[in-house]
Amino acid sequence: MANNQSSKASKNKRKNHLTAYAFCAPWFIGFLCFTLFPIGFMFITSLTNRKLNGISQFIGLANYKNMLSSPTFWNSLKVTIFFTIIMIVVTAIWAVIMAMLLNYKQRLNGIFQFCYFLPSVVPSVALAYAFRTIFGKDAGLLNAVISIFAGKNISINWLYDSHTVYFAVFFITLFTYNTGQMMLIFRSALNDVPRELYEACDLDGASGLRKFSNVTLPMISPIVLFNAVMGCTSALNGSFALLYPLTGENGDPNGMTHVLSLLVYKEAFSNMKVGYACALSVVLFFVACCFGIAIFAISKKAVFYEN
Amino acid sequence: MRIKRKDGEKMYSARTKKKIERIGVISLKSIVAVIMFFPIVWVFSGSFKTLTEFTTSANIMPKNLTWENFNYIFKNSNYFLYLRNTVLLMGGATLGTLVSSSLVAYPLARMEFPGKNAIFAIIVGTMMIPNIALIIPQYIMFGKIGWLDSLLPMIIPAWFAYPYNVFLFRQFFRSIPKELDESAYIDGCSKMGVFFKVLVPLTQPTFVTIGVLSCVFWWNELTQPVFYINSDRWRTLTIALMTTFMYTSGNTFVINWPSIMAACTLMIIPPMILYLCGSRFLVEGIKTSGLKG
Repeated sequence: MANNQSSKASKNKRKNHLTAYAFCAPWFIGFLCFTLFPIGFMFITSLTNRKLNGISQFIGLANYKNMLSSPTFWNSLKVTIFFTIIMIVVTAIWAVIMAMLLNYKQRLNGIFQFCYFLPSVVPSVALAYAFRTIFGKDAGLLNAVISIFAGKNISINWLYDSHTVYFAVFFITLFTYNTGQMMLIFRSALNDVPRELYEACDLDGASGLRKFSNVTLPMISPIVLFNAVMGCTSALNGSFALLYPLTGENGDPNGMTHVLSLLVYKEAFSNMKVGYACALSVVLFFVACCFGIAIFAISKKAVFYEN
Repeated sequence: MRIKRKDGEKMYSARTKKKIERIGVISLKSIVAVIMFFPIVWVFSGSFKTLTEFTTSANIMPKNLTWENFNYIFKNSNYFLYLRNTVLLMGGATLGTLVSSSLVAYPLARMEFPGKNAIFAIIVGTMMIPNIALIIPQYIMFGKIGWLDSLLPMIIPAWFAYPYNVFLFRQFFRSIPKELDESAYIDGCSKMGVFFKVLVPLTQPTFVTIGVLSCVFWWNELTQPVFYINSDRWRTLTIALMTTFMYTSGNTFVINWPSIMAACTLMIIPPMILYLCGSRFLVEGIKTSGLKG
């Protein structure tokens, strides 16, 4: 009798497990077809000289050899890493500033939050075009404003001048979805910091800056980690959607904004070298992995967990 | 007597200090708000300017308001075709991800089974792979099965659960007390029954939240359509903004910026309205994505 019951229970258990797997099935099929298979296929195709029209031949590591001897590639790799790191830092700082401002309880906070988050829902193409004209040489808003203050006519082509392009591009990243998302997450994280900690600081007479570095930052560090991970993915992903309409597929000026994703697109569709583009995608894939590992390695040292 | 006065003075100065601080903070807030808002104002105002005004001065308020730019876009391009494509893409992908992601998140939030942690780890891991790294092999793959130049490469994968949305659904499902499930089991509900009769009704706002997030994402999506679509028939508004609207600007030497600004205005307004109506849902969804655990 007891035996019978336990076998029935285990049968029931197995049935429950099967139900769970059935629910997971859509994800698993999708994961196999749209993630795992493309990854494998990417590695294989990177060893061929596949063209856009589908003709391909196995050529071993020739794509990688070409890549490593190409200055365009090295430039793109450098720009990608630089762009990703600076974008994460700049947008995170801006997001924290906005979150701290919003967490200072005042009237009209709802309206302020609306304004702060609104650029995030604007399509990146529209954003890029807005800034192409704002940063434009003739009749650009920025030049006009500076001219008023400087008292003379200023005409800088902000996006095509090698001295100003990074300033302009990173300023534009403040308006991307990434920043808005971080701001909202930081806001709720800052709200969760226990008030008593600040009160203790006040008793000790700590300055605002010390309060921030000794209380706020450690308390929100797990969220900083999460934002860094998400920011890294969206910087690698979003750089294409932002820079393609902004500075074109050649990453003007002089390839200074030529991130790897733009190079992948250019090689595959303008030069029709799909095999080579796959080799570049492999590098992009590993860059993403390295960023992930690096962020977790840093976090092991820097992130403070309450429990 | 003297001490009392001193006290009063101190209180008074503390109050003024507080007041100054409040004014300082609110003016900082306003400056940031102006910075965040001016690109949108610039686009809106630009769409009402004439080409000459746009290329000669940087006024915020246009001198002569003109609707000509909007007419130009409607007349010279298949605007409504692009709009239809965008709405189809947005609707198809959003519906797909809502159905599939919620179903996948259910066992991850509620059931115990071997391999659960591994599956969750893979889901979180794949969240970190940037889509752009896999887009070329996917392009070849979709070319082989003849899906290129249609909306299928974007809509079909959405029906197989997005990791990010699975993660969000799981977080929301976990906030519903488990006792409710158990009482439903006692009432004779199956696993499927619990999902449809307990979790779905209780997490309706979650579905709205993830739906709004997904709609905004697909309305704004540029990368995938740029790779997968090349004919006019399936163009979405974002690619039209990069190609058609650019080319229909007439004279090739001068880009007709005001008409492009008009097209941008038309693109900005729907997500803006969506955000205005559903800001509570949007904010809630993004905040939840930052939760630990």
